[in-house]
Amino acid sequence: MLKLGLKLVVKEALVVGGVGLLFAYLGNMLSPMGLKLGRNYFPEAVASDPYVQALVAARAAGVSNATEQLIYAVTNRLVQKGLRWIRIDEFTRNYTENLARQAIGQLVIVDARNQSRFAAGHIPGAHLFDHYRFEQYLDPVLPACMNAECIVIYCDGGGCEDSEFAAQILRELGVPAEKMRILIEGFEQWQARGLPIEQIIQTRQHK
Amino acid sequence: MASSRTTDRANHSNKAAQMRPGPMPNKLADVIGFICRLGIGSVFVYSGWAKASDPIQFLKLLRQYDLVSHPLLQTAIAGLLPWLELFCGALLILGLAVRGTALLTTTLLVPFTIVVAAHAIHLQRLSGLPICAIRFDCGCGTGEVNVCAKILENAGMILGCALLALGGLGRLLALKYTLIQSK
Repeated sequence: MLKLGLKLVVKEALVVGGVGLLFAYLGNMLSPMGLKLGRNYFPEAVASDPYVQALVAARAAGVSNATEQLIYAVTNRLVQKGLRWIRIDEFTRNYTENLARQAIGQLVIVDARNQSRFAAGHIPGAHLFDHYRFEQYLDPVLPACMNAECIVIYCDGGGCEDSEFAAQILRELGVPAEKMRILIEGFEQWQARGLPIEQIIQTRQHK
Repeated sequence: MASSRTTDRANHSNKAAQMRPGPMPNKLADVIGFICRLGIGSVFVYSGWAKASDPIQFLKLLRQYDLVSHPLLQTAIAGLLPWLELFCGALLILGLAVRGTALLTTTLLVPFTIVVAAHAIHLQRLSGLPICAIRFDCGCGTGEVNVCAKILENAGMILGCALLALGGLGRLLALKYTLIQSK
């Protein structure tokens, strides 16, 4: 009797699972945030490095010198991917000059995070380029990158890879790799240093 | 003829006994089952919705766990699993196919808990931190969590699902407790 009861439960679980997967397929398909199931979102990716993850965890737990070790690990990863980088100290050393270069399109800053994080705060003048949905951002970003002399790409920092994936996609689309620099410390350090930030504020319409 | 009627009655009684999944729960068991259904269902609805709202973040975490190397499989899991969680959570809350849904949620929870524990042990070996000091985003839709607290929470949910699936609890205010009846 117990076996028959269990058999029915298993059968019921299979039915629920089948209907659930159908629901899941439709949900993903209809959701504006849904993923394209046939797409590889990490082209040319090296495997996610557990050492970097461990350093991120150590840094979060306040272990001293974890930050520098993390930066060292990230630069090793960039070398593997054939990407160049820039440290925040170097980038902000000539801040006024950089602003002037940005104004005439010689310097392009690319934010590789998502729309909500970009809206909450980004480096002034940065172009959003969410590489997971990069088709939406190609029109403004690609021409700007092709015309620029230097492209600085950032994400959150702390070992994030989104800037690297963005750089790889831009490279595939024809942007020369030697023009691109990954800002290793990312937006986290930019904000922590009290540097200027732009935001996108949604305004309510009053009747 | 009298003996065949007796046999028929015995057969009918056996069949009726087989249709019942177990002994009827008492009031305390009813309440426990109802709380398990609502609690686990709510967690799954919340977690599923949080991940379905930002499947990219979940996809990134899947890649970090390095369980599945094939990128298309990673995409499929990240795209579909959140909605499946949402579906199971809703069924539990509504009280539909409770036992089957509880068994399915157990099959989702057990490997996930093992993966979280294994990842935590791996990070502990690399970082040298005490294991209960390790925090990371486990892909539960709640951001960074303390790994020990998460494992305890999941163990509680697995126990709750086992009570529902195997113990026949959770009938209180269920819309349709059993979808599949025995013949």
